[in-house]
Amino acid sequence: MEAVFERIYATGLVPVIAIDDAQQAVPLAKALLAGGLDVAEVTFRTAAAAEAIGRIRNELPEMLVGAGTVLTEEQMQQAQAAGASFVVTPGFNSALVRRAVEQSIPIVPGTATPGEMEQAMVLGLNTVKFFPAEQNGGLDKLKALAGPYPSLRFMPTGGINIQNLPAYIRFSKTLACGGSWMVKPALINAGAWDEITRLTKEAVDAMLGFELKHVGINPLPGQSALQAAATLERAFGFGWDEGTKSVFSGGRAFELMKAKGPGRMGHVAIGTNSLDRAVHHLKRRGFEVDETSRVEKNGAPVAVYLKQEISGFAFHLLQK
Amino acid sequence: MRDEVLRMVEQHRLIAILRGLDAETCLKVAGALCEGGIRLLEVTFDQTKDPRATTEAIERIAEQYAGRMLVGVGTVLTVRQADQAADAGATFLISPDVNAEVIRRTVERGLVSMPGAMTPTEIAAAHREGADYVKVFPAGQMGPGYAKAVRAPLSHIRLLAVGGISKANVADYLMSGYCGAGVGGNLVNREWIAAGRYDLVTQEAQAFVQSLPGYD
Repeated sequence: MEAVFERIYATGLVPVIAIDDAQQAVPLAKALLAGGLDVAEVTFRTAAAAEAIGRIRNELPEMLVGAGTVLTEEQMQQAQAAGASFVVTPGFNSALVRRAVEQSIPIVPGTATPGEMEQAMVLGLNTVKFFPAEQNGGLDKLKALAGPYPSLRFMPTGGINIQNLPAYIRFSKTLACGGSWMVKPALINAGAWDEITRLTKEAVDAMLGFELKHVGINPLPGQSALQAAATLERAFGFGWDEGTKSVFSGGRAFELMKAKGPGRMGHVAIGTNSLDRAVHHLKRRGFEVDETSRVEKNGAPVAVYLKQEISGFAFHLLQK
Repeated sequence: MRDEVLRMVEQHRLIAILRGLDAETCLKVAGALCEGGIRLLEVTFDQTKDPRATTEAIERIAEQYAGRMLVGVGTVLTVRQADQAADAGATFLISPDVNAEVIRRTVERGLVSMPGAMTPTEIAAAHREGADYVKVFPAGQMGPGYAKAVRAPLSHIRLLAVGGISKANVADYLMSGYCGAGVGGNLVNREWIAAGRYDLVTQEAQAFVQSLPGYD
């Protein structure tokens, strides 16, 4: 069960799908995979849900597919039979949750109040949906609600968009966000798979929020980091700040290494909203990280290097 | 009768809430609202007062306005109150909370059930227990987008907006997923009633009806 939730966490964004025609399930799932999402929630808002789940399971085993808008035990059984890996509900239905727990079905029930969250915890859950997230007070409310329950993780859904997604993702208690803007019914019905791929990629990029944080420069033989810092100051007026292993110049734009650091020429730090999720998505894009280089602080990831160098530079991710 | 009430709610969409008025005043307000185009009235129980104040008002409005307006009961917390209201002739029943026993009794007695709920958990539970409509209270605090968000997965549940609905915003609420709205103080102005200005109540009712979406 935890493996399913870890996979959802790593992906970070769960497209919430309502599909009218089960024939469109596989092309839709392919479009999502092409855009970088390998988790999907197919909702029982339409009659085609169970068949759509079954088709995706059969033809695209790399996609983790769950069932959403599950309101009855019958729907939960249909979802199970079709091969759904997890179940999401709009509200907290204790009978349904109890049944899921008995059958070891990973379930993410919708909750909106401390009372509902505590009911979920009483039944042994540590993951709930926060719904409708934006209309119910947004990230500030979620943070306030999460305060007393350090073991709970949340799937905010409802009103999530490309603008507010990064902030939800930076919140450490967010399991993943649910969203439907990249899988609007009109796009699905029109078979606009390229547009769905584009919107999906745009969403993943916004979620990860990659941006240049600093460039690390290795010293040439016989030259020191302090000399380089003095040169940058003379040329551009950049102030500097000496640390044990390096000198930062120009705010934190340049890290001038005292001894040769990673990378033939140096290294580049790329900031991200979520280092864990960046690792997952980079792996899907064909880039491995060197886990031995991982730096953590208080159990939270801070930095990790990619195995591959690009143009003589080592690249590391930096949690923003 | 239940079908007739459901049809009337779908058609007229506004429920005027009469709270804390004696039976005599309720009748006068009912007349003024009826003249202004209101077709659904809710007379509430007050838990601190004699329930007969409410049942008497319901009885008299049901009798005098039969065929012109439907009267329902509000703030029902117990099965006993549900029975009292049904006996008095109420045709729909509104509660602030989701009480499965009250909902069951309401439907058994042939009334339309409108329990109050806020979260998707409560809304879905009310519907499972047999509610015909779920009253979202206080809807005004959540903004009109709340119904749209909740009904994304719960599109089979009919919602009513109560709390903070005014003639300036009622159209926004009714166009974003609520199928009706309950309006109290923003329509049944206490100062006008105290001053006997029932003409103003009628005018305000007309203005409210005209601000509904689709009004020509």
